[in-house]
Amino acid sequence: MNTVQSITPTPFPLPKAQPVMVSGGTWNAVTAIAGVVLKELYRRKDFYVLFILTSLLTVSLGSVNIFGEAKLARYLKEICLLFIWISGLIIAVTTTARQIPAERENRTLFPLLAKPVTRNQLLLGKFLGCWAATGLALLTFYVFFSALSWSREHEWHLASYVQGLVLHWMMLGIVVAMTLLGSIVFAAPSSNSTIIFVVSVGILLMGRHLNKVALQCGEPLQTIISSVYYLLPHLELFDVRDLLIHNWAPIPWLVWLGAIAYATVYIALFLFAGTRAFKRKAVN
Amino acid sequence: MPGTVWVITLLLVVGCSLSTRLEPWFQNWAGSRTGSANILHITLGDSRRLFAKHFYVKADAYFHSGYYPSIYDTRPKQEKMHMAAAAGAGRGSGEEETDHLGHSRDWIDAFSRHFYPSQHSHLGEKKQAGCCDHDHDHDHDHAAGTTCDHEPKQGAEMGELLPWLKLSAALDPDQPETYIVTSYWLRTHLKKPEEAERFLRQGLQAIPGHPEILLELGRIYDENRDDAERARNVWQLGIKNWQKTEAQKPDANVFVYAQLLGHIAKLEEKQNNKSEALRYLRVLKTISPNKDAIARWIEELSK
Repeated sequence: MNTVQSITPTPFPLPKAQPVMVSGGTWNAVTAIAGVVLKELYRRKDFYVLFILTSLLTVSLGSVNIFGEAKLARYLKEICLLFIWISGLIIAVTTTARQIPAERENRTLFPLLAKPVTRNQLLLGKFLGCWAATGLALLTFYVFFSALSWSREHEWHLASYVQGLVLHWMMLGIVVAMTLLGSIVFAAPSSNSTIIFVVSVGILLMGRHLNKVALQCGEPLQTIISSVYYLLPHLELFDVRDLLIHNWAPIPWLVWLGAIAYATVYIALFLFAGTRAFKRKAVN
Repeated sequence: MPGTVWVITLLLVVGCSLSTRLEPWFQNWAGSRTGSANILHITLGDSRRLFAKHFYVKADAYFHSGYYPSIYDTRPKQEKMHMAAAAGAGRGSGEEETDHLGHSRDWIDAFSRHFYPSQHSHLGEKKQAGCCDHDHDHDHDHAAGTTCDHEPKQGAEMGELLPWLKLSAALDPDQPETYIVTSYWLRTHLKKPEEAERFLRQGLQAIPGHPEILLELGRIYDENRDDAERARNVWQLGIKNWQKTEAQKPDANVFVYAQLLGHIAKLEEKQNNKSEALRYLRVLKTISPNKDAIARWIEELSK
């Protein structure tokens, strides 16, 4: 007679519940995503092509003989800064516009979100990565610009150059945040890039003068243009090229910090709008 | 296949025959750009004049260290550009345009003025403490040789205008002002009369016998080379060309004529040719707005 002995299973000891380190986990996720974006910048040729083009064109123009004057610097600085601004805008917009759509097309978005990475973390990570990549690119450009400037003028305007670099980087931060929002709202990276380019260039060229244009219009156009003037991010505030070219004194540091705060507010606004839009968007 | 070959051969023959007919016509066509060997002329056509104007204005902006009105502000007319007025080119008086920025319209405008040149200044000036806080509404004679209460202009910095002026001249060689302004800054501030003369001669190749260019060329011979004979010849040619080309026009550039007469009269006076000097001064008196000063000069010479 066999009897089945009842086996009382021994309860498997479960690990004690640990409090989840939310902030550390969030930051790790964000920086991991940002790191991937940064590595993408090394692999892609955009930056190298633009940098080589800028440096070659600037150096060629610098070798032109202008009435035997060897120390002419300002025209060269202006051309170099123009190329830096164009290149910076191209790198920022093209790098950012393809981030979310590429993840969706390669079907890597689903596994990414299936891991303990929230949509907000993903968006923030992409923003930080693109912004950091743009910053690195800008740093290289501005080092070249400083070297070029020193070779002609034999003097450093380090404070001005640092201010200019940081302001330019903050401006591109706004553009990156706008582009991320656009990549969620618009259908394709191409349309997103085009719209952001047009809007950014439009603000840079006309943003400062919209209030004068509004004064010359009748109602209701005057109210509309004035509202646009006060609401849009004034990217032209960060364009201090004329100060760098003509060796004006550095901007007062408090004013400079105020501009950085202004940029931070708009970056936060666009990122917040992006998170709201991304939350409602279906990823399939 | 042979049919295709014949068709292609036929088309090639027709194309070559047409080109022999059309090519001579195209070479003689007035709108052809092949008359010029200049790559800029060929690629840009007449639109290069727009770019030339833009770069000329850029040189003026450089003269003001970036402080310059945009297209949404009131810009100085070409004949009143400060850089040109200082060089003696242009017909305007030496009066400087007032501050185009005015009072700030809102907090964004006020804040943004820290991020671009928003104070009136000139290239090469070192501002003394407290200077240039005054209004620039007053008559400010910026003619060559006079300055306001600033330290003397630093010559080397004036060279920063040159690339834009050179580019402007390359794009539109038919503008005499570009040559005159460039020559002025080259010979006075950069001490390069040879380069100035070479550039003026380029201008004379593009615009043969232009009185303004001859005036400036004469100044090089007179002020920089001390060659009175050549200066006299060049100025006399300038006067002769002005009488031939400008005198009949209703809006003739009398200012240039007056400058030519004034310079040659001064030269003749220095050379003790009083009769010649008086002859030019009598003509100058008829056209000058400053008849009293000319009359006094004539009186002094007649003694």
